[in-house]
Amino acid sequence: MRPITHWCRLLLSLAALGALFAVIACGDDEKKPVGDTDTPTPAAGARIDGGEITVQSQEFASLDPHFSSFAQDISLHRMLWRGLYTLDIDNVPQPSMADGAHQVSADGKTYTVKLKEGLKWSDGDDLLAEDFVAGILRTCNPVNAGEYQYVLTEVVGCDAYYTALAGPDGEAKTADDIKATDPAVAALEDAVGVKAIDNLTLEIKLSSEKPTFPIILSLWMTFPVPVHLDRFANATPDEPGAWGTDPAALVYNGPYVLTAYSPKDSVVLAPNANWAAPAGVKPTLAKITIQFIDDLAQAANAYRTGELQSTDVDLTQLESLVTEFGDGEEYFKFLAPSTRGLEMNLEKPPLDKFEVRLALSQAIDRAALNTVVVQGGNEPSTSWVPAVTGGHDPTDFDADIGFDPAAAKTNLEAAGYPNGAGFPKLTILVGNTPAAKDTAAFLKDAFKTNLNIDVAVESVDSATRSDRFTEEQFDLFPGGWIQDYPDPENWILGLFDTPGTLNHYNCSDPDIDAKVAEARANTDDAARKALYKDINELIVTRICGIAPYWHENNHYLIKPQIVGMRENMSGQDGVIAGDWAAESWGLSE
Amino acid sequence: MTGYIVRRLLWMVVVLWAIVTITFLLMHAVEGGPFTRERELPPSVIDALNHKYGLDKPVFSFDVWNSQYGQYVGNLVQGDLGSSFSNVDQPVSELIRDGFWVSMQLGLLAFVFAVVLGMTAGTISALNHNRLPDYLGVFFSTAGASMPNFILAGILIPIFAVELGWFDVLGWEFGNYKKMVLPVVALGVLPAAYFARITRASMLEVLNQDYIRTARAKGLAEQAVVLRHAVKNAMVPILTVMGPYLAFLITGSFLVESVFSIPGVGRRFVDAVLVRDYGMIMGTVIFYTVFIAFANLFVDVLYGTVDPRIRYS
Repeated sequence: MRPITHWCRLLLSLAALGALFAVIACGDDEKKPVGDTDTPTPAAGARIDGGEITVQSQEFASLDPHFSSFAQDISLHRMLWRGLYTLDIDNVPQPSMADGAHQVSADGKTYTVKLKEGLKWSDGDDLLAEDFVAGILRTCNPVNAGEYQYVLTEVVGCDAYYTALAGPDGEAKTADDIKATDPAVAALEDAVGVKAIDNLTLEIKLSSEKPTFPIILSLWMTFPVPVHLDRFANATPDEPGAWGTDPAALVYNGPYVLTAYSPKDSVVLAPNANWAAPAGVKPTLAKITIQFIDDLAQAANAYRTGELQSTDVDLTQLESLVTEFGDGEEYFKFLAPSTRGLEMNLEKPPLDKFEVRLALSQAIDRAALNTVVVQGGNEPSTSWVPAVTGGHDPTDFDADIGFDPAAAKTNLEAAGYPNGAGFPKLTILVGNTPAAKDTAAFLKDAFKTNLNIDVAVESVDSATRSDRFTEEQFDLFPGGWIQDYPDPENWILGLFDTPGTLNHYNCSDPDIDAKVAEARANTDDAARKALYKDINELIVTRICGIAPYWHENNHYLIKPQIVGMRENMSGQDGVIAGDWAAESWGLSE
Repeated sequence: MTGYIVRRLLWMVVVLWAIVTITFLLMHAVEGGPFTRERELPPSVIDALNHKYGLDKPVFSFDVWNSQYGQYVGNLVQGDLGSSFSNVDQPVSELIRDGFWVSMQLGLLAFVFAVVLGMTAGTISALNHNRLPDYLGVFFSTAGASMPNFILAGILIPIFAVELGWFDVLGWEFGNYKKMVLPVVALGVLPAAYFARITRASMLEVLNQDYIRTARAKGLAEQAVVLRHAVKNAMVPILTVMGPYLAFLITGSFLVESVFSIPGVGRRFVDAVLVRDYGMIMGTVIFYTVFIAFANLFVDVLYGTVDPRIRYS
């Protein structure tokens, strides 16, 4: 009889689990997601006070604005914290926490910034100059290891402090290496050129003039640190204080506060009652849920079901989504500050020959590439720096390096490879996304058709691809650049000058180097920008590392009842439409 | 039995050490690292990050405690799985705990769904051998076993979420059927089909046994014959596959978690591999190792309980 008893228990257990499943499956059918399809959609009208929305983004890596470099992180940081200045929709710095324009010394190296009076953190504590000093110091702190420290390289002492603990590249630390607890490190921190003159006045010293510094003061790596919190009040060079992810353990000076965080799932924001509203814009939404979704095809489905009110767009579905939601109705696009092209390693023969690089560039039909790979979603271009950032119009260099199969063949012959004869096998290194593979397939076919040369394609995962690029183990590499801040120097410095740390194309052109040196030294803003425009022309027409093929667009779906998103789409968008000015988001009647 | 369990637990420690070492080695052998980005970081930043996370030490060294491996094992022995590289400031143990809680709910419900559906379908098929219900059951078990769960999800979502609006596409909320049904069905159909096939085959074999004929000849009701004699004896082969499948469903729901944006541990593991999040890769591998080892031990012990003929020494 014993086995039967066990079997009865087993069957009863299964039945109980089945019943549990049934109870769970039948429970809570009253809950409806925000914006469910049977919820009446308000007609377009006046903005209402209150309401809640759910928008798609990706999970952040860190909430610490002085550490992270990911776009989705920065998007969230700007909703929660703000700096001394903020860029308006035309990318012009406007006072945010600062009380008017900054003062600059006669030599252009000392900035004095006054804060508005009465600024408060979300917990009611005063927001003071020392908080902004702590913000810059935190970015320069070697233990915090901020990924955007290099933007503050002109701040006196920031580089020396930041590199105090790092050993030579690729070498293990030794017992003799300096420790974060060493008094010398504290001295390096003290030497960083930022201090609070009084509660409302901040002074920053630069090692050289930097006309773009007011823009830097609007960026996340200069946001304030709440030094009145214990872990930051007691911060030392070796213990800068963990920023953390607990919403209750953080305070905010941006338009929103964080009320909930569920890893891999979502964050929830609510208005910050102490938001200074420098431009007079206060949040009207009662709640914003940012849902972390990597799969944009599913995000589109969630948008259809009403679970999302805004999402980025899956470019593989672009045409059908535009048809379904209507261009300018619920589908919107905006030129992103990003250029992509075919990057070339000039140390890999025959890519050292200009005629070869030119032939490859002229063999690429950029319009067809745009149609085939991203369903016409981007803007074909032969300019590296976008016109909006002081570069050239997308078609300005079409006659020089644009699609021209006949000229491509001629140039390849001039390089010593008539009709592709004897051309060595090059490899296109791409990621393993469908779009990347499609791009490589298109290029391979274009080179075969137009130049009669065979190239190989190697598809690897994203980290491997990036690693090979950094190690310069590539021949041809579809890649590009996303702007950090709206100035042409951000597209050129370090990338195309001979000693540039990000110059993995091995571009080494005396004319470019000379112009870069001249532009760096020039403090006349107009003249400086003209020099960078000249450099853009040199880079492109000499194909010194890249043959641009398009500027990217950001694509969004936005529900009609949402206001403040489509109106604020700009190159500053992180991953959500108008996320740089999220205080403007709201619902209409 | 106790000695057997103790021996298995000791072996588990050895297996865990081997897997930790191999994973550590492979993880560092793969190209790229946690700070390899599409948007490249300057060398000074890479140096600072390597120092911050102890990656400026050698991976392996004869000076074991001054190597990355030695430090990791030392921390592991103290129960510290370290921090995630891609979820900065968040301990790996907390991330796994939170993710596993969701994955376990999803996996358990999918398992129950699969067991109830699979065993019911298999039993009905066997009792109606070579008749329409049997053909339908065989069709279900063949079609279900042929369909990967992400394909099934891709079919279910447009119909039941987008068109009919019955269910949600995103997320997981225990108790909210709109968020639970589609992931559970997508995850549970394949094992249900497998269970149905095993149940059918096992039941057909049992139903032809003499003791079933005897039970019927005694005049037992058909329900009693099936439940007390047939199902009971058909369970052993089914139970054999249930254990591994339970572990698979709880740990192997990455694709379903990704499709439905469910914050489970399976999704975390795959994402960690893609971004070379060393801390999370090691943590999830260790967690999976321990979990699957215990699941297998549990099933082995259960055999002895279900079938008294099995004895461990």
